[in-house]
Amino acid sequence: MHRLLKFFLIVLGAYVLLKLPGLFFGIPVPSSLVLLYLFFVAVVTLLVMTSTEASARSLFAPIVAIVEDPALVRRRNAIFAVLPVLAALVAYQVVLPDNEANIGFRAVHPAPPALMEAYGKSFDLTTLENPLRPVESTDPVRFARLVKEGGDIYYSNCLFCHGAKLDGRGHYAHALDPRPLTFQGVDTIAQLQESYVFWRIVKGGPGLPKQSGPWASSMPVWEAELSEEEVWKVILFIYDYTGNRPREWSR
Amino acid sequence: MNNFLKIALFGGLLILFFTLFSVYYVPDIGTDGSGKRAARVVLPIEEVGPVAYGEEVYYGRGGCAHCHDSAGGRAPLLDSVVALAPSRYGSAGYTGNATNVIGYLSESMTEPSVYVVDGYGTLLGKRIVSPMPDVSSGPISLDAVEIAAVIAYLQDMAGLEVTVEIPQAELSPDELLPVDIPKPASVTPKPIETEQSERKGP
Amino acid sequence: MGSSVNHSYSLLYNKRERVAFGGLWSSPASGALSLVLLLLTVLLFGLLTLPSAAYAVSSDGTSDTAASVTATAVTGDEGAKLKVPPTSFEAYEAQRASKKGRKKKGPPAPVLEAKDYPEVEGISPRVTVWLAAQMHLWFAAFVLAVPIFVLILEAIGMLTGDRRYDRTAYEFIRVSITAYSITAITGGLLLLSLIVFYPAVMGYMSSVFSSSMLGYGLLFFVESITLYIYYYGWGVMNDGGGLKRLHLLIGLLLNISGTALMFIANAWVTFMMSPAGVDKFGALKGGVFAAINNHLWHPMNLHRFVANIAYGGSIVGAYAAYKYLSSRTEASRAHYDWMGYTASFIAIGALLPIPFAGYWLTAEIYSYSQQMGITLMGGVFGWLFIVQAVLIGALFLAANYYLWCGMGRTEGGARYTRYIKYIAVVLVLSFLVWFTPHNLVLTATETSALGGQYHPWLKSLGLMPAKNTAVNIMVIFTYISFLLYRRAGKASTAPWAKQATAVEVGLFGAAIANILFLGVYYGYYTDNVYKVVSSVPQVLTTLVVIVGSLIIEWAIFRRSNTVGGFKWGRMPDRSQYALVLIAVSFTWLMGLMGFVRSAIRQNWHVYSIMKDASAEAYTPSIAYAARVVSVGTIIFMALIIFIFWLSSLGKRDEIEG
Repeated sequence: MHRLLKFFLIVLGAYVLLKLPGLFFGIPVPSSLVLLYLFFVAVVTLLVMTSTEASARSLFAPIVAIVEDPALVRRRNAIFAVLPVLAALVAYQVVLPDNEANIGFRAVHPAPPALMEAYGKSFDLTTLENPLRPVESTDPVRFARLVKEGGDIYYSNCLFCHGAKLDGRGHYAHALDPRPLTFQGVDTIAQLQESYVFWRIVKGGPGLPKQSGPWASSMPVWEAELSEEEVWKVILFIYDYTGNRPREWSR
Repeated sequence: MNNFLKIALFGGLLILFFTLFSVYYVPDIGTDGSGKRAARVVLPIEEVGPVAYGEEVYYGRGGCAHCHDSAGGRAPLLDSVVALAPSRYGSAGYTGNATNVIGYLSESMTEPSVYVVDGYGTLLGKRIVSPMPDVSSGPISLDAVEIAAVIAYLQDMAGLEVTVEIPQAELSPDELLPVDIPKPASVTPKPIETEQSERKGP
Repeated sequence: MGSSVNHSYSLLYNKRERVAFGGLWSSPASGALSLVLLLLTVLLFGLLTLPSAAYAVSSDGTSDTAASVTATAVTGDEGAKLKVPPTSFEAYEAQRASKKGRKKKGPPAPVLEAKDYPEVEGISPRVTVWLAAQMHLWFAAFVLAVPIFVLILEAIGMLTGDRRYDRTAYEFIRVSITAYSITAITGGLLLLSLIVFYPAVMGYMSSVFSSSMLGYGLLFFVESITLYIYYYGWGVMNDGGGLKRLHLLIGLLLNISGTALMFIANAWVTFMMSPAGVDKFGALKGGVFAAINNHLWHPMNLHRFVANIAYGGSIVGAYAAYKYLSSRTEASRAHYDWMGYTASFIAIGALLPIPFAGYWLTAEIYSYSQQMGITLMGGVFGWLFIVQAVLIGALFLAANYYLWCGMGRTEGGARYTRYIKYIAVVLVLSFLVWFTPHNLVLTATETSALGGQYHPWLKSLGLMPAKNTAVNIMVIFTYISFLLYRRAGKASTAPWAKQATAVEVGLFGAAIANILFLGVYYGYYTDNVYKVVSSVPQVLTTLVVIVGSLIIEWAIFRRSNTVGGFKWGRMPDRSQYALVLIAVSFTWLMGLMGFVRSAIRQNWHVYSIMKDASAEAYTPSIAYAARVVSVGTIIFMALIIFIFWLSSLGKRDEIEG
């Protein structure tokens, strides 16, 4: 195989390799990193290929031939016509306006306050527990009914953003930034105490603390819509549906 | 081409690459941009009250938010430290001698190792100590007023009533003795001056 | 080759060269200039040290509230009255005027206001001082470094009898004579700009350091004299015997005084970062040595000393590269190829320990002030280390490339070229880990796909254990490139050479496995305490494998035949650009890291003691700093080229002819 071709194949291969996680696992390597990675792969490949005299000469031979060989005049003209067009295309892509939001750093789970005022009383979030949780062990039949009621509340209120499967892919989800959180998996509600979830539901986006970075969360303040008991029931439901256990108090 | 020009061109392109990399690739974070920032004036505590003043100290001179911040994970978050304080100075691992919340907080700021939250200590010999510096000395050197104001801010952050007293008293010239910055038990009071401070919060 | 080199060698000492145009700079004229500058320096400091009007500015500085608000210290529950130190600047002044305060030796740091900073229309004080200081620092680093390895080269030359060393040494000391004058000029410029734009700061600094500044002047004098004797006495004292030894001794004295000079200047800089020996208000408590021997002094001394050697080597390498490319004879190509190799060897050799000196400095910064440390590593400047990683990676790649190309100096190198690509793969992988940031730059789409700021897979590469592992592996593989280069021209006659090589490969394999294990296991599967600690055994592993393989190599090739005819000068032209890259990257990197070191003080002149109240007290962004550093690098490079051009004028044809 020719060296120059090999060079392009190596760089292309690296590019494909870096794109695979995004395509197959939905976990893209950030484009800013891809750019940098590829740059250094290309540079080092060039260095290796020019480290001996023979290899360097054969690497550049086709380029030299294209520029100097009179027999290749057609190919030369074609290449010199295509290259500027390619450059123009790339430039066009770069300056094309898009609707990407500005880049910002944010914490997904900001720290809750110690005390919360809601429903005309004060909740101590450092010790608060779900009053309906004990039912799970004392009266399984009633617990199942509570979960069912929580499900009804969920599907008439939360579904539109958090999705029918509680995976954060509701009807409106794709228009929102930050995206509604999924409850599936082990790294969202499974990491949180029920009191934290209670706080997030009751106070919503506007209740987020200011030290937690730039927020534009569209989570409503459910205090106005749902009763205290309804919120606790929803919490029972989302843990039950996703098979997660709330985090216990350890501190 | 002349060798000299070639080398100069090569060097120039290299410098250009470094510059472009630093200017366009590296995100512009937290340095107040490249523009000029108007000198920030911290209002005296009498005008803004202890909570706002404490917040200024917390993000500014005290540098607390450098570590006690949800993004870094270097130190525990302080949102509920006021509520948790009784359980801490009541616990077995506690080595200080505070008996109330305010005492515990001011003690923790000047002697951070009396109670180290799980997972945040570093080993020093066989003892687990806190990596936090004493805020009343060294480059931070908060005085009693500032420490009290930070406590006020913490109480407010936890959603609790602000109960800390801001120290105030007369100083006669006789009391001005050339002593070094005192250790925890005696925190140096300092008048509140107009001063510049850089806010480094999230 | 020998005869032509010897011929040109003798020409080096002819009279024509000394009276040539270059003589304007490398002559007593520059000596006189330096002396005048020295005198000016001493005079200016003398003026500033007098208890002057610089402090008057503070008396009306602070606000009215200062005097009226007072306090008792209340801690815990008992409101006991405590003896407290003065709380305001006025009170402090009053106390100093009273009997008790008299034992303090120096004046306190003035509290500054915007009007204490003279303004000159259209000139930014910060950029002026910044560029002047940077320029002075680059030249000083060069001027300090060159005599160090000139001395080493001269000594090697005397011991081995190889005259190439002596000749190269002489060629460089001549360059450094001109650079010495420019160093003095930039130093004068720096001083002038500081006095013009920051008079109060200079007033305070000289009040603390007055005696050390006089010592600085004295050492400067000693350095100048020894330098001139060393340079002008080179030909006369080159008798190969007693006089040559005396000459070496003078060279040693020159280096000692130069290094001492740097140490004193370091003390001023580190005092501004980690003040010591002064009270809360900045007044000197006792002797000046307490202020000199501050927390960061020794880490800085070590870091700068090692970096200077690497820097000097890199500049000399670039010079050799240029001369190599413009050589027209075989002999001259051979000479400059050899010089480029030797210089880059010194540069890379000194580069390897710098990260560890840097760790020490950073650790000390952390232990002095957590706030300063975090500003440096995790705060505003966190991203700067990505820029640094890219530059250091470029240095490593250039060094490897130079060694790979160097295998072409002998036909025997062809036996090893096939290994290059494997080394390159490892280097690329380590390099990618080395500059992957923890906190990524993400677009909104990527953020929502990843569900947060951190990449689930790449986040672990952003942490210190991964970086330590990567850099150790990069060092080991660069070292393997070096070993292959050394083997290129040799074939061992020992019957057990194959087995010994196998042992060596095993050693490398074990070392790499150990480094990976330490990095991965202690970095990610244990708690915080071990994470940092694991970097020490990693470095030890690297050192052990380097020393171990050197011994084995020595044993294998103790009796060996040369293969393929090793020949200096048989290098492709493009390899020389690697040397240029090392010099340019080094210069730029020094500028950038110098900026950070200075900028982590944020809005303090003297950290925690003297606040910057000027309009430019804010911390500039990395992008802005990079632009200033680039401009500085270009000016510096232009000046360096000018110097080399000057010093070449007098001996235009000697090597070519």
